Amino acid sequence: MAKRSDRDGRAVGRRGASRRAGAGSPAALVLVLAVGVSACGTSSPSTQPHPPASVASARRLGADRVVRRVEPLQAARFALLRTPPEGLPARIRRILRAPSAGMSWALARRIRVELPGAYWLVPANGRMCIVDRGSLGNPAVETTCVRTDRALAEGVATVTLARPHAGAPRPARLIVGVAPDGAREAAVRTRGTVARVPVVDGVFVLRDETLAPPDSLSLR
Amino acid sequence: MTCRLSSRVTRRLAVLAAALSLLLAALALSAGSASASPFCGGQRLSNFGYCYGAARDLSGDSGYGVEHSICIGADSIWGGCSTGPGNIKTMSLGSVIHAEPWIEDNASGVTTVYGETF
Repeated sequence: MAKRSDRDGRAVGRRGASRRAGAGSPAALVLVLAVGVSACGTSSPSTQPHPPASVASARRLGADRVVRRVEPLQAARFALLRTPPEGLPARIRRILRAPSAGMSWALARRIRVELPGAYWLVPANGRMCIVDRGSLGNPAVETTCVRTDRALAEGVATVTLARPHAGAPRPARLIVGVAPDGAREAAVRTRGTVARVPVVDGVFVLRDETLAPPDSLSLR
Repeated sequence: MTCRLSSRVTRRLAVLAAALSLLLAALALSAGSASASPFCGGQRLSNFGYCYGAARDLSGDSGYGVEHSICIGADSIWGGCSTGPGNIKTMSLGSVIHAEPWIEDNASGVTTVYGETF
């Protein structure tokens, strides 16, 4: 476990709002009351000012409308999104439970990489996401969502880190990303160093022993 | 008269039973699953520092940094890292655990972080 250098964040959340307990639910009053009662136990008192509206709206991940088709700009710039969708497998959907950032699970495209684990590019509402499972043996399903304008500039990438352990004595970092059409190389900057990796068929992969996520990505 | 009274009582019992069924169904749906709950909202982290939320039942968490990238996790589980400011990172476990969610600042600079468990 990593060192714990700051525990100030304990119990500082704003009043919790249950995704299940939607006031707009069509259920009867008794249903709303029942769910409301059950959600009360998860609320935490507010001790922090609310974030700015733009930040607050970005936080409500489940509130975004699920897209019905790939947004034109995304389709125009990412070749993978012009291929037939395969959709996320049912087992991955069950783990994800609900689409975040307006992701359309049905529009997911598998990212073909010669790696253990599975990766999908999933269009979302104003964002593009990578969903992955099994990266570096991580059993959790990870989702990384990037605003479309940023995806055009730096691609969409997921970063998995693995500390040394009994089965693997050296640290590992794996970055799998999708770049827009025309990109030939991705530059991964991490704590003052730059690693350059080729973009092949719109995909880039970096595996090294740097136990830190990149500070920035850029493409050329 | 007795028959009419009996019929009215039966209808009311049926309505009551229906309401009770809905109530039980709602409780069953909400029991044993984690609800969305924020943590570390608006915390300023610096120099690779961590921010922890209170221990709770969760099946995953999400987070992002306003100024630069972050990593997320819960207890000893690493949920991966974002690659830049505003990028949302989510970890989904597929089962409910009781754990402390965390966000790690990913650079020497200061960043404001927001997290949410579900």
